[in-house]
Amino acid sequence: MKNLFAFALGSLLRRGAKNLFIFVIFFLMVFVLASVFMVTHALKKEMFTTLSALPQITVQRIVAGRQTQIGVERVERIARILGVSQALPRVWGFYYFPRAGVNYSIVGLESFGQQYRADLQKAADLYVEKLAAEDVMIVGPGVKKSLAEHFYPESFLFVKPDGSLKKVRIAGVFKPQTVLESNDLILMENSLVREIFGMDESMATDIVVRVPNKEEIPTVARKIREIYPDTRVITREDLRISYQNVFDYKSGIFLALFIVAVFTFFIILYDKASGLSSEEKREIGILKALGWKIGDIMRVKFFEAAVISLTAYLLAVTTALAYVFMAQAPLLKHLFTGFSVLKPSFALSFSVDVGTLALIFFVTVPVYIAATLIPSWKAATLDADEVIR
Amino acid sequence: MQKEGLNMVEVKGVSKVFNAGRPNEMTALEDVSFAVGEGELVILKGPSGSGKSTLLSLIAALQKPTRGEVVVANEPVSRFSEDFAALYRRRKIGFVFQKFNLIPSLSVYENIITPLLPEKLDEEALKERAQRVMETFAIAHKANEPARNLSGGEQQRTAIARALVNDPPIILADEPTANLDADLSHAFLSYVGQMKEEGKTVIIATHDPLFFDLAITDREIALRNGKMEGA
Repeated sequence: MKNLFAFALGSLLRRGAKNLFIFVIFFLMVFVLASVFMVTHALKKEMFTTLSALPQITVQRIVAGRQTQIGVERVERIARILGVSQALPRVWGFYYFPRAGVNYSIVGLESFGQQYRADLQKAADLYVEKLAAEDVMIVGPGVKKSLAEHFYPESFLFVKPDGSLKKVRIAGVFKPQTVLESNDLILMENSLVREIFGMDESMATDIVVRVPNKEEIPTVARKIREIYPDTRVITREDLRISYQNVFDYKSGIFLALFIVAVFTFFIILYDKASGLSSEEKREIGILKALGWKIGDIMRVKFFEAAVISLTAYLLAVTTALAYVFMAQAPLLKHLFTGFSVLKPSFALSFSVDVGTLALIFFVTVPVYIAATLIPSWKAATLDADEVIR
Repeated sequence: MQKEGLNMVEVKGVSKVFNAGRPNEMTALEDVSFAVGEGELVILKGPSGSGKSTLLSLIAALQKPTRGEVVVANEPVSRFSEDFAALYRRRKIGFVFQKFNLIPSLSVYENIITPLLPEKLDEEALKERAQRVMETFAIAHKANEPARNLSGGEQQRTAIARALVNDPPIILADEPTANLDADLSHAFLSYVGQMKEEGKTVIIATHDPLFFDLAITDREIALRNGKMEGA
């Protein structure tokens, strides 16, 4: 077996140019597919973690087609709708930090009140006294790093709408659920957020609603719309579909790439399956005449095909892992997330979909091996005499 | 005259028809019978198309006869399964082909060890066996040279070394001098003498007059149009 394996390796090297071409095509196809799937999987995981943390219903007030502040007095009326267990006003917004060229998301907390998200509740509980007593903020690790890079390691000076400055100290670092959030999230007391954004006490950015029974969400959403016709009521399901659509659209670009790669791969397969070159047939005939069994010849051909396909597959998957998770998928990541510099940068967190890698394996490696073995078997079962005359 | 003792090869009433039942049906051999004793050197002679090569490939179990039987060392090789036939060729037959049939991209050494690769031999054993035949046939200095770069004589010596590397009892040679000049053809005769001295049974199919009426030859069998002359 060792001798046959060595012969197979030698045989691959002897037809080096042809085999190198096949190897490169195989590698590129698996690399592109694996990279795209890894990026989309990591982003989807990130996206759905973010989604799961979002409120079940968000109520926004719309004026002239644009979102505007909503009166906090509406909270009480919404909370009275049957099926609603909690309605909370949110105070939040985006703050543009020109030096870093990014938008931070500032989210307000009611220090002694209830929060709409478990992680926010945890942060609020942890820093409750500081939040209530001082002008402090709790930031995501990415924000902390970004501020420190621009010489704000301890505190930051926010510019209020009237041009005056508001110094806010960093009281702690908040551990967010997702990497995307870690890079732009800042938590503060509601009153401080209102001061920085110049918002009135009676107004909120939006209202979040909790409905324990999932089946009732559409009905509650409809009722809110009926009570307040000037609102836009967004359910978590609406957001999920909207995110999914954007993803599917972008995945379409890669479907085109995928088709090109698969097309090339199948040309190689067709070339393999449509028969061997006269040189290869003759070689098989010689081996048979010298006393090789059909099984010996098939073993060599199997080794040849397995070495090319497995090596290309493993190398491509390893390279894709390095490209996506170490190099952060240059080009590819931005094609999915957009090239906007207004969002702080974030890292793709390591997340591999083994099922997808297995699927790529099964549609490439065994198919290639079969396409190599079938014509070799055909040649090996011919009379050797016929092949070498 | 056939030697006394064991018949190494027996061809019994063998016929071979190609494309039987089709418009291009062709009878290559018709009712051929003969026997070759152990250690004999037999020349199969006859013009091109007389059936010599077909007969050799039947003895080597590369094909099966349409009728009749080939028995080698008391075993009915023409009835062997594909795998048994391969094993038989590997262990009992050394074949020198008309065009040598070396694999051009392999080195001399790699070509020579090819018949041994399916056997469970370690690298040392392969080297030792190859070295022995390469030295016998004065090709050791070209061991690492690809076969495509060899001269006609070097190819011939490599092909003979490959045929003998598994130390088979029977050597079959099909028109071994067809592509060689006079000097190399004479050199081949001396190699044949060596094989005979080693006790091999040698059957050479040729229409080269060089092989006719040689002192070392035990017998000549003439074929014409697929039949044995005088039969």
